[in-house]
Amino acid sequence: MLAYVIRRILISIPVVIIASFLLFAFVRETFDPTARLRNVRDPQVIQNEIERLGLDEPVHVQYGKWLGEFVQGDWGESARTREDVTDMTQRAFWNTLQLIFWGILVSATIAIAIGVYSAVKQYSIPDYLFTGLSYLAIAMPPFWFGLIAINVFVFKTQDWFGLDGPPVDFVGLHSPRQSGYDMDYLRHLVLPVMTLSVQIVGSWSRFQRAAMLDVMSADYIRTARAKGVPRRKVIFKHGVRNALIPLVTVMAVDIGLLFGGLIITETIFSVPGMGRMFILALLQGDVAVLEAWMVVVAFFVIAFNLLADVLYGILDPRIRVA
Amino acid sequence: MTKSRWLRVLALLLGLSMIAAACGDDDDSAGEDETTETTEAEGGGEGEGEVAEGGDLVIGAEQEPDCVDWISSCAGSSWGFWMMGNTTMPRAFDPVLEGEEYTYEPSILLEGEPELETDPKQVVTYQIAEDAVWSDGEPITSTDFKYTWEQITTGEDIYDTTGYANIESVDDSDPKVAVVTFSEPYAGWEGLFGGGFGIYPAHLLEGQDRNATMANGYDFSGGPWMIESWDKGVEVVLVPNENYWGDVPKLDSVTFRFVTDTAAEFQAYQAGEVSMIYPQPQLDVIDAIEAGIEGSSSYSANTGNLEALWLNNSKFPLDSKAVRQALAYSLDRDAVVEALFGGIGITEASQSLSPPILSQFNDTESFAGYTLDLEKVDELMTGDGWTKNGSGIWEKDGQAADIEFITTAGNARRELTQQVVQEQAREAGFNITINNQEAGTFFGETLPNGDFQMGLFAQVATTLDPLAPNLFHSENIPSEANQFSGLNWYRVNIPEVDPLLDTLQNSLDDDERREAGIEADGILAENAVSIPLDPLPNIMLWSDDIQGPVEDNALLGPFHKMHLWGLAS
Amino acid sequence: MSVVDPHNRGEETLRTTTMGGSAATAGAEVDHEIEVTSVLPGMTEGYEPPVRTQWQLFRRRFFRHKLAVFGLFTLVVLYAAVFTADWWVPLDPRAQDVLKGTTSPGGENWFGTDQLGRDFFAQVIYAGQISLKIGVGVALISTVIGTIMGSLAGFFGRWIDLLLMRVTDLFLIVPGIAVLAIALRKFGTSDTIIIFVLAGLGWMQISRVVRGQVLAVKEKEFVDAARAAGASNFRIITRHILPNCIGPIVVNATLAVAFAIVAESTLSFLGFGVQKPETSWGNLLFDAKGNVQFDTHLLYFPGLFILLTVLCINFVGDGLRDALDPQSGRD
Repeated sequence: MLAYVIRRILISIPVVIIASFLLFAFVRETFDPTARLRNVRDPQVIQNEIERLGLDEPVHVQYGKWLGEFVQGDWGESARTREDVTDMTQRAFWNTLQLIFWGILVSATIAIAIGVYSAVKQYSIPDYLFTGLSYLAIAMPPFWFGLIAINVFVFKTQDWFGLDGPPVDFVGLHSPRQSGYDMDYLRHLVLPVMTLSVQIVGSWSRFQRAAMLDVMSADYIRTARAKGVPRRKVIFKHGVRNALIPLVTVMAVDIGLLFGGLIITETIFSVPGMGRMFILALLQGDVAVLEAWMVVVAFFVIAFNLLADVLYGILDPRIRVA
Repeated sequence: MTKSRWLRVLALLLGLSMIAAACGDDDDSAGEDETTETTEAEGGGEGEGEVAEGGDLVIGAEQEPDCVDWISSCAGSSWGFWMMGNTTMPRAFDPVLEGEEYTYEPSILLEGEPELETDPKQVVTYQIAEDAVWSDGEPITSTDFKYTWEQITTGEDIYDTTGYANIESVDDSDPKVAVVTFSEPYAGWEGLFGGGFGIYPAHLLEGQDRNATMANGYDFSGGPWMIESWDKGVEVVLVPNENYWGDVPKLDSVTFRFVTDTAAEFQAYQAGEVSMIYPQPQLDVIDAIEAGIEGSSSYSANTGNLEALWLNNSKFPLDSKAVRQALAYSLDRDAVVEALFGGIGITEASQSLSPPILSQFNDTESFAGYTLDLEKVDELMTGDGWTKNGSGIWEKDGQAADIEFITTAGNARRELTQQVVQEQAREAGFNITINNQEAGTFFGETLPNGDFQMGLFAQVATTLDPLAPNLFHSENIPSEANQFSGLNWYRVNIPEVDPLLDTLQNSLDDDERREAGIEADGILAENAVSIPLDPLPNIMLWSDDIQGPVEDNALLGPFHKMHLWGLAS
Repeated sequence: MSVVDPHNRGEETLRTTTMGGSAATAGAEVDHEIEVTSVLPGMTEGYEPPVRTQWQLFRRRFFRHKLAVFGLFTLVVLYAAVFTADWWVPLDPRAQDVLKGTTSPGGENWFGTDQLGRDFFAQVIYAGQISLKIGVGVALISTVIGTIMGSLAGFFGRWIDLLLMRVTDLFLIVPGIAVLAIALRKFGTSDTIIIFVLAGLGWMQISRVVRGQVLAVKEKEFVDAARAAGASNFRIITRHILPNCIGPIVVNATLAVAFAIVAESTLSFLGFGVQKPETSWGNLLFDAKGNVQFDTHLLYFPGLFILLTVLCINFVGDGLRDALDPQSGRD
């Protein structure tokens, strides 16, 4: 197992390097980091910037320089704000991490509950209802859902219930000049977490339902029932636990991908996370920031994929990872 | 629109007028006037006693500056200066609106109007107010003037050295008297030591790396406010500068919340998350104002902006004067403007290629003759050798009158404007195709390189200096000689207009400048070098809780009187 | 898909979820009762009776799936309606009445009007032409590329397989939206370009599925038999292997339509998609970003159309899967 993990990590390194070079080269070719200086009256300013960023050198030389510094721990500075990229990334990462944490917590809880319930009460009215809702959730474009959620939960609720202010907030993670993890934080979390969870809940709950049905028809469950173990106990002791195995691996892969930043959620709800940082940097051709972003994302994608494989091997002894 | 909402709006207006009466302000939310000045009371007087002390105000900010070292090339954001610049940096002159015209008046920093000599050299003598001090208690001196000039002219990555480069020396032998001597006359001298830069504190920065010290925020101030914190991507907090020698702010703090998406910003205001916004005039904002939203609002058409159909005078078919004129006669510009801004009462098109605040130097009616007149279009086009082809489009020597029309992609209002113009021009026989670009490419490459036929965007004046010489003088066509930094992207090359623009640029005699400006305007209009559309009105929306003079300044922005504001509890 | 925005992962997860359980068993359960050569209607002509029976079997299974039938019917109506808009939509989507401006639904404007007083119903229908065209275009192209790459990788294995896996890994890491933004910047933002770019990002999913199928099928006796009979590799792939993979290919191609429609609208929403004056549903939504309190009809209608389309495509995809592979459709 350890050998497998190490081999996978070693294979990933050249992939990440190639990916980072491609990103570097294409961004350099396409986006001009001096474009924002075009209205500066002194043409020398652009010249200075070209020298500062080394734009007059061939792309592979620029990349080599960046890579050399990066592996030594110097992530460079933003071409736009001249801020230290490490600081920027850390700040953005923390915001995204909060969204992911709450999003996964909420999604997993709801999805597992729905999945188990639907499987146990297969073909009941709630089962059909949840199945229908999951279809809707999966088909829903997330950005549209976010805007509709603002319309309904911020504005419509005020009209319907005659409230003085909106019951939930939708700008950032805190009210101005606040940073505590309190009611205010909670009110800001509701809509973004809802937006990022809707599709995830839809697909995970379907998955969980299918897995649960699989397990419930398995021989050992039937045997347990035949031996007289109470139904409730069978479901929770054996059924749910075994049905979670496949879901956990799917979750690991999905979570890894979330670290790319929740571009849509962060845009709609003005959260300065990884997604916002990425979009802003992309439009400005801010290569150092983009590269840092990519390396962080690649790390999590690879790590969580690996985690999924390993978990699968540990949780389900029938599968051997070779 | 339900009845109850109308009732609520009515009740709101009623309540609003009562508050307005109580405060002695005349807030206006109906927008029946073309330009609405919100308050007459300038700070003091009866209003002041009734402004509450204390409170924390939250304002939505549409842009976050890259840095706040104002003279550096990284600080090009207007929002940055509106929020943090002119609230913390002293300046020599205030641009003040008198009647309809903006003029410069000496600021609180100076003891009256500086002395101006013009012969043999231009020399300006500034008398600095005795009590003017930095937030650390040190006096503001002539050395600060000298330091500012030195940094701008000798520093690296300076945003714009115009004017400062004309200065020969700054004499700081008397700490409260700055004597500035010019090597070349500079007509716009009142915009120096202020403008978008401010005056820098020499005693704090001398010998330091100025840019490194200031770029990410600074804790000194020579204005009513100080920067308490700047949480990047989230918010900026200003607190009162207790050592300010003028009116110390009444509010405990002002927080600018960055909501960089116009739609989200507006939503945040509607939901009460921020108490004031100053949004780009997008249509959803205007629709909502029409629909009646809470709070007060003001719209000013007297702005530093001019949005126009900018034409490339060197590209077929717009290289022909007759075609440009015909195009101008094809459009019902008033209808375009009314469709865009009718909701806030702006129904007439701009009739000059200069922004409204520069009206003292130009003829604001020079384009008034161009109204929708299809007969005139036929006459001009046939006179120039064009005939209409089978699909009703003008054609000459086998070439159709096809015009590519570019604007910045993603600006919904501009895209709608394009579609209205496209529709109108088609009826007159011009085939307009829309092909939009991302802003960086558009302003950075397409326009300077002249790879366009017609563009839609706004010119923005940041000082009270006339823009026309930069935009239309033949020397400013991007070329080797000006290192391709010239701003005459429209390739206007009219020999008779160049000397007039020279006078407008350089003369120290205001009357002479005005005359030259008006004459130049006439010639530019006659040649239809571009077609003015609208002044891109400034829109402010604010909660009724805000007391005091809420007024926009085309150059200083909407927050320059924030130190006089209070919050109703 | 994942590359546009992790949000859209739902789509892909759905596929992983429903694509025959876990990856470990993928392909192992290919239903050999179906002589899948017969799946496409055009190919049934002139075949012997048992084939017809298979086709009928498939059809019966599909039409038993009520949601799939509903989805198919709705999609057919939607596509027909959108692409024949010239003949039946009463109002011209371009006709402006600038002084009228935005109005709520009612009267002759079934969906109200937009800011320029243009009929919003006509706008939504015509915008559907671009959205649906992008959906089908991306699905077709990515299916063709994915099938070719997947079958090559599965059949020949070795370096081409390795290459495919690494390229797939690469695109898992390189942000798709960066690729899109760069490509659209370089080649322009016409709908054709967008189709090719989205297809360029979307083929890997299908190629992975095809590869898995090919790996499983190529060990079967009938492939050995064909090889023994002297069939060329090309013939073996096209005549014997691919027909046996057609089920998953069709299902994935169907879902790819939904992926493309959502991806395009998401891109447009972020400002990278189709540019005016071409309009897609995503484009209309970009304009309606601010309409969360007033004139919300501009926000609701285009989104509802996307939702309906994607929903129906997913129904059809489910129905197809159940009909092509009865074992997976247990419930």
